[in-house]
Amino acid sequence: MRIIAFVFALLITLTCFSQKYSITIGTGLSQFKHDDLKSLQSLLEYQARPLGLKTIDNFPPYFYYSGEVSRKLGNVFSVGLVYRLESTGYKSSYSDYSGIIKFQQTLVLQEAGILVKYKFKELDKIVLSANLYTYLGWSDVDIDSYFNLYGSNSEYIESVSLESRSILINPEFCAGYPVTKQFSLHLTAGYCVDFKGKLNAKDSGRQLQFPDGTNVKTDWSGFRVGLSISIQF
Amino acid sequence: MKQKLVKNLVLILLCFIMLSGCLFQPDMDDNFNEIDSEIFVAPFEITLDQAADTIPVFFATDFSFSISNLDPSLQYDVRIFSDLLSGVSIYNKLSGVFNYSPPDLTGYDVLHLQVVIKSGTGSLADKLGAENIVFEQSWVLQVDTNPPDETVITSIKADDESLRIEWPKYKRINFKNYRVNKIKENEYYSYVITDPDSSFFYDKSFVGGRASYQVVIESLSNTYSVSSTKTYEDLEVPTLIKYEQGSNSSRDLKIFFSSSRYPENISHYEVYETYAPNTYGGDLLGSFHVRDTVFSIEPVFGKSKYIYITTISKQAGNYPESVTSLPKEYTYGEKISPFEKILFSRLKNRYYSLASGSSILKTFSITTNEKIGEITLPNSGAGIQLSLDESKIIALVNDKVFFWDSQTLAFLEEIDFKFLLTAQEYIIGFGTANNNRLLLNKTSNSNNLGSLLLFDLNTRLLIKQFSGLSPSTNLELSIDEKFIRTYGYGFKKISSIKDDQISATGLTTTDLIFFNPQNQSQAILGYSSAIQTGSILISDILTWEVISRFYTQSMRVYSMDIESGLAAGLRENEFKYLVFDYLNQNILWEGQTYNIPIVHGNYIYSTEGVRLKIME
Repeated sequence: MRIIAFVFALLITLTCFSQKYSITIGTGLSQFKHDDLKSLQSLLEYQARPLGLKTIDNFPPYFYYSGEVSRKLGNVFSVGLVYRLESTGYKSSYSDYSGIIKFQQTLVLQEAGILVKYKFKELDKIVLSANLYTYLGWSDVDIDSYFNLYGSNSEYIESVSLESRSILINPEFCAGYPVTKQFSLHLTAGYCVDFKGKLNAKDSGRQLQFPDGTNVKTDWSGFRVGLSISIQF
Repeated sequence: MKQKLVKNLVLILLCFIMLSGCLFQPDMDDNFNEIDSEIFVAPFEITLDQAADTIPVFFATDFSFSISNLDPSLQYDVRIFSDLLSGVSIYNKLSGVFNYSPPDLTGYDVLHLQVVIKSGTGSLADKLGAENIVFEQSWVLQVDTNPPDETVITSIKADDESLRIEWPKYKRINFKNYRVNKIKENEYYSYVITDPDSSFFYDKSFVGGRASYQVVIESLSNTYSVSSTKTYEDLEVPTLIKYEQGSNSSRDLKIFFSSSRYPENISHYEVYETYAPNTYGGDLLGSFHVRDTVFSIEPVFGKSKYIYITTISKQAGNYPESVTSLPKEYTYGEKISPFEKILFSRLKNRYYSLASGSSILKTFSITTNEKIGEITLPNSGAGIQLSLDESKIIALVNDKVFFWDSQTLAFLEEIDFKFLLTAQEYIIGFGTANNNRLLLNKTSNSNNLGSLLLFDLNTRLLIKQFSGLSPSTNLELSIDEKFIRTYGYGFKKISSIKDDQISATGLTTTDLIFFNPQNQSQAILGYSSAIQTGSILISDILTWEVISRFYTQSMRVYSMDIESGLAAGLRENEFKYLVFDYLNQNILWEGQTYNIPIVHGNYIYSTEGVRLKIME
């Protein structure tokens, strides 16, 4: 939070400069596929089905956070650098008076990339543009297993840390509204295509695989809807 | 206005981010389920086949368990484990067998049997099998699988009329039995004792000798410890102690032998006799009860016998064992000097009277062999002759005849017959006859010609005299209307004169002359030239052949006793004494050279010495 506040304060100070550059921060809601991880989770649930596990979270859409720096190239194009942070997770659980069992995954994706914006129309004060983001993403996946029968000293905790890398392309449409001469609000909607990265154990480097030998991959593909604010200087 | 809007939007965005969190966090919902945890199980029973306060275990043991009255709808496991052993045996049945393999231990373990019943609540713990109702029953196991402690034989001793072997009592629970190993004379025996408190063993087969023992403690786990071997030796086997002549007129010899120290082990004694030393076996004299240590034998005159006493164990059937005493030789009498004259006589079966070349005349009891009295003869030295009357003891010494009372041995009188003799004559023989008469034989010193003089002791008158006796003269004598005929050189010594017989030794060293007054044609029994021929009867039982067996040319017959039928003499060429029973046709004794037992039965043949001594 302090970092965000610091960045926000920095953007304020930049408004005194020319309006050739802009800095944008935003947030939004991401939707993810993660079919492999869902399958993996289903497999675990199937194996533990007598225990009555219930899926609590199944890679639900969750907020992303982004920041970008761009420079105008002419009147319609802008290019820049972008960073985005996304996360989601999975949880299945069962508990009663005798104990608890749960499996959960926490996925964090950090993306850094380049952007290209094309302003194709201005309607009154609404500016419509088509944006294309190309990311290199780093996924961190923590798979946690927890089991505890109360009073039996049988608490069991196991965590596995995995990582993957992938390239993501996220085209979107953006509608911008200039609040002032320096500030403008943007509403974006798009779809992120993830070219899937193989999950490897952080400690050993071994790839996570299904029982049939195929690799388990992350898949951050999904719709993105966001809101951002930019400052031009 | 617009700036305010932007600020508000930024603030809203920041607040939204703060509320939601930067990164995804799983939901706090853990899918909690409400489940009824109430459980009820009806009573049931757990039983073990070897149930006891403490169960002894010595080796791998099977325990059969059984659970009864358990609700069949319940899901259960039967778990059996012990404190000391790792692992749990799990059964899904209400009865079974658990094999307990004990560790190497002398101590305790606890066997647990648990009936683990699933709770059935459907809870997570129930589904995972961790929510159970456990009913447990335990049994203490007293485990002893280690080998028995070392043991030692503490004592081997004669005890309670047997042989007792002792060792420390074994107190551990893995006792199976004691085993006593015995080695004797390369034979191996083994005895098993199953009572742990009986840390001793009576060797009922030991009757003496040398035996080695070893005690083994065997455990129920089939281990054992062995003591060192201990050897026991007892060579004091029953042996002869003394000999004693039987009472009264018995010819038996009572033999006393020592009792065994282990009479409880002995069935009986067997006594054997042989005539040669170091020769086992021989003739079985008899079997004797273990408490009977005296037996009688009928000795053979003059023979050295060797007695073996064999101890027969009670357990001879199963464990043959016997101990034989070392051979013991026994003889009677004592040595006498060679060439010593033997005189003997008997009086009414009551006394023996002995005389020798010495001046001592000794009288013995027939029954006890004890010396009754002793007479010192006058004129000690050569020439003494002895005769017995019913009431008197008569000795001829030189030309005098001395009389003693046979009962009291009191001196009665002496008669000097020198008046009957010329200067060249001397009396060489004498005898007594009935009616208190005395027969003397006088001769000249030169040619052995002599005369027989019949003398009346009452009147002291010469009744009759036969003169001119010579080797070529046949002479007939008549005593009490009975006749005596002599051959050859006449009488040299007259041993006795009885109603119908006169016995005497001849004039030479080779003659033996008997007289049969009733049939004088058969009176001559033999002399040197007639030894090899003829058969002449005396009292219809005596043959010349019998006499000839004993009588050789080199034989000097010293003494005869008509009543007993015994005679004694000396084989001069062999230096052996010979005593023979000419009536029963037996050689009673043929002595070793110069070594003569002198007692046989009721008769004593002796010269020197008055002792009745048993020589072993």
